[in-house]
Amino acid sequence: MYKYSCRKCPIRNRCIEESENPTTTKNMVRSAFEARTDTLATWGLLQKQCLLLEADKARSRSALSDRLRKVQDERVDDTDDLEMPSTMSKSKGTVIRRLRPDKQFDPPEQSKAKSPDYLKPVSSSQKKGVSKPLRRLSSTKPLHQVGDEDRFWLTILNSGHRIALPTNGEISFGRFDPNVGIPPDIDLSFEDREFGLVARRHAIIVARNAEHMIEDLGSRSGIFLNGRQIENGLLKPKDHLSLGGVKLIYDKIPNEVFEQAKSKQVRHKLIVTPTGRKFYCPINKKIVIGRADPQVNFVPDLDLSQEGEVARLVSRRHAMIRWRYGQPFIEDLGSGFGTRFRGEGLVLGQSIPLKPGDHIWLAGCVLAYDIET
Amino acid sequence: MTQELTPGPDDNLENTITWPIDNKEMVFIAGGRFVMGANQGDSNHHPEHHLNVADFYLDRWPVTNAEYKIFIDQTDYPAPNYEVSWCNTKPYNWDPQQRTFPQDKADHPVVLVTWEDAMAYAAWAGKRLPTEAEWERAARGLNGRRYPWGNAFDAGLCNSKEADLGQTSPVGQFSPGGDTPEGLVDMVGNVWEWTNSLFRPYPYDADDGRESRQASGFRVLRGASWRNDANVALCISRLDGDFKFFNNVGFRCAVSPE
Repeated sequence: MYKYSCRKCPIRNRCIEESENPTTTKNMVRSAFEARTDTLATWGLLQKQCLLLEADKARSRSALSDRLRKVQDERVDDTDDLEMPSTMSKSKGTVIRRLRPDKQFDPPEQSKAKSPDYLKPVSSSQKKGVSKPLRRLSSTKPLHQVGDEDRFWLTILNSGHRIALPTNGEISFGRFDPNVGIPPDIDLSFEDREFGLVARRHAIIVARNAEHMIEDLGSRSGIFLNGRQIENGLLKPKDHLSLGGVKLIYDKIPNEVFEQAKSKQVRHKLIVTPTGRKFYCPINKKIVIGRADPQVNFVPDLDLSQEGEVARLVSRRHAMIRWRYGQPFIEDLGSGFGTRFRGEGLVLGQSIPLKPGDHIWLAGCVLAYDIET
Repeated sequence: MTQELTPGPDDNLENTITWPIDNKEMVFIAGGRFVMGANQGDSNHHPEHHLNVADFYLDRWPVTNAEYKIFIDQTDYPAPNYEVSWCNTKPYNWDPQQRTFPQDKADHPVVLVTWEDAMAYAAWAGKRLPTEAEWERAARGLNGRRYPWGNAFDAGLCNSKEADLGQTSPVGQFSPGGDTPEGLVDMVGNVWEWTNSLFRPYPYDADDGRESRQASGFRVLRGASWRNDANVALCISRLDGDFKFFNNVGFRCAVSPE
């Protein structure tokens, strides 16, 4: 019925934000999508001013630009490998050409020069075949508007576990409950196991251009910012937060961390946050994350089936970590309940580089990626 | 059954008293040994175990808006009125100036009340909140019923998702079919009800600190609500109230005979 699916739309939150609906409607729409109870009526509220459609329109207005882009597209395709920075050339062999999702990993300065990223090639590539739309979708995400230097994270005082925050978008904090509610983006139940004071839906952090606002979602134990209970508040570097029994510090991610992540000395680990289990990722090896199924004799590289209820909705082949240019990239493998990353759903074919502190939501089971020196 | 509102005092039920301060009918529940929890279903009510409770009285129906208004008027307690992103409070918000409940909801259970609000009401009325053991004894009887009225689910006997009302209903709308043999109304369905107990794993032990009113933690909610389906709308279902309030959470009070 609609050309673009709102459920899978990577810029849905922007659509909601920029629509002319009153705030309450926006909130309603947002929670409908979060709860996956969205209907065509919900979509209708957004489709009136669908940003993707508007981008389509804007493009079709200028036939010349269309032709220009076609030429550009073709040229880009041909020079695919040449575009890679020389440091990355080693991994060239491992790049799988089928999906070509790495295109979205444009260097920031390049994307700045272009028009807003949701205006990037859409329709022309759509006509050509199966592989193209995948690339198109991945280019719509405004992941690289803000550089690494503007990123923030929360560090849990007790465990030193780090939670990187998105620069735009929303992530929710809480605890997984197999029976009630929506699994949050960040599961604090393991960190809070001694206290049992984190609510299923405890708090949400809303990020706008690297500014972070925390809001209480009506949790009984509340949020304390620098010792004072608050309903909502803007976070400033070095702020102390406490959610239930979990104490966190909000701060800028030091640049060294990103440098370290690129060096060969570090170990890359995935932490299964509901149980604290660690998994060290072998470098330059594909890691399939999922749930083992003895019936079909399938065991993924990182098996979540032993995590119990948390992994109930994890697909057998749920997501995959792939290495490019010495960096891990996360990709969804067409899982039934989807993969969320930095507060947004991953679109099939989209491949996003993992940075220290990133959390990957696999249908309720949350993995944290971090490095260890 | 459609428009039978609050059951009046002339219902002539045995063992019913009218509590003086808030003028609410209370039903005598005989203590005894009963079955708590179950071995099937949701793991948070495992395992089945036996338990003794003493005699007590329990409100026949959850505290309604009209009854809650008497309380806030007499004590200058703030009226439930919230504007939050995580809960649709609009149909249930009270008028903050007039301190009145939404029109046409006088006989609906009061919602948007926190556990502290419920405790404040109970303190004002000279009552207390029931423990979850008392609540389960009252709903389940001594023989371990599945639903207040028996063992078979019937969409016409409680305000669960199957009744498809999409909101709270006047107390007693499902009487007398949905009542317990003692005459308790809306035990299952309509609204979740705050209890005095902290949410701790079974087996239940009243003396292990879970009935402490000062301890921090989540309080148990019982009875399921209009948003829950037949799998949850059971006498044994428990929910940890990890939120402050919600649009499907109310309460009823208990007292012990002196």
